[in-house]
Amino acid sequence: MSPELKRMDVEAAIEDVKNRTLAGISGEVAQLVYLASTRDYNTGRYYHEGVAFRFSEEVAAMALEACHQEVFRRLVFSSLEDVVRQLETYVHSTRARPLEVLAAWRRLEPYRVVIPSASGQLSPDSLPAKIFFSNVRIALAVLEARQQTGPHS
Amino acid sequence: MSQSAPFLAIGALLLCFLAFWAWRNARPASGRIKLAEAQEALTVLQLELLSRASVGQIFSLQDWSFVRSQTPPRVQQMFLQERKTLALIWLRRTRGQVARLMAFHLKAARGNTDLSPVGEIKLAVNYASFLLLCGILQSLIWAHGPFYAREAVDRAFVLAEQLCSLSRRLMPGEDAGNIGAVERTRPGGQQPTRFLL
Repeated sequence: MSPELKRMDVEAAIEDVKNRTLAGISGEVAQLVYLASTRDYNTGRYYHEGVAFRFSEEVAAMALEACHQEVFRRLVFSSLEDVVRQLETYVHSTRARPLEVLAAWRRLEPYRVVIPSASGQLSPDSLPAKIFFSNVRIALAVLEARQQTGPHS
Repeated sequence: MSQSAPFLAIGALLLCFLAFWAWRNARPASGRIKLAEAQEALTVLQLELLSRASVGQIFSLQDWSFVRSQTPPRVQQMFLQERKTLALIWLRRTRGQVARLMAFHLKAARGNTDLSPVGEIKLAVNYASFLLLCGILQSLIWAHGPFYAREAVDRAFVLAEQLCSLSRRLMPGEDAGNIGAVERTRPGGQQPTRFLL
């Protein structure tokens, strides 16, 4: 496949992931968690059966990685107020008790494994990753404070 | 003999200094900065540390205003501590990468016969101002937090950008197309220079 055809395929696959998959997931934190879950912990390779069936495994992996990067960048450069709102939407979407979810996130720090692949320019030690981790920690504290004292008090 | 002893001692010291200087200059390049390291420093600066979006995020007054109006003092303290840590990380990394670039520039300048004295003086003055500003900024952030020194941050950012731009002219392979491609990938790359105020 020529590089040009492959690029067009990847673009079509990105649209496919956005329209068919991400459109059904409300909130960017939830989308980030979902996209991270399509990545193999051992190999770092992304996989999605439906997208791979419609395109190819390689194109699907590239499209998922691109979407992951895009959602992450949007979240990193969102205002803190937006991050708090997104995280709140995610916590309520889990249907578990909010305080329990918040405590688990604070204790286990699962947000550290939801950033996009370290194979690119982004590593957990990079500045955008540090900004993201810091914003999530603050957002967790804001939401915990709200849960303890009532919303928006 | 006793009268010539001080002169002999000074002569011996000078010889030692010359020997050290000769040894230092004859050392293999492994101990000093290489082109690849300088290019890496330039990339990190352009893509990550001198990204207006990242720096704007760290020093965002909008976020501080949100936290101050919506959260208890405990969370406000946490927010200030988190942003202070990020600000100091940004400052330390930016200073470190600019220092790597300058070390490479110094090395490359030795073998370059086409140097413009005015350009070199400008670079030296900019670098000295940058280092001074970084020192002041670090103290201000430590003492008063990240939101006290926004104007100085703005100035340090602009100086670091100027240093990158001046030093990459001596870097082989950094042609206009390459630099343009890097700049196009920067978040907010088309925004005006002043970003915080």
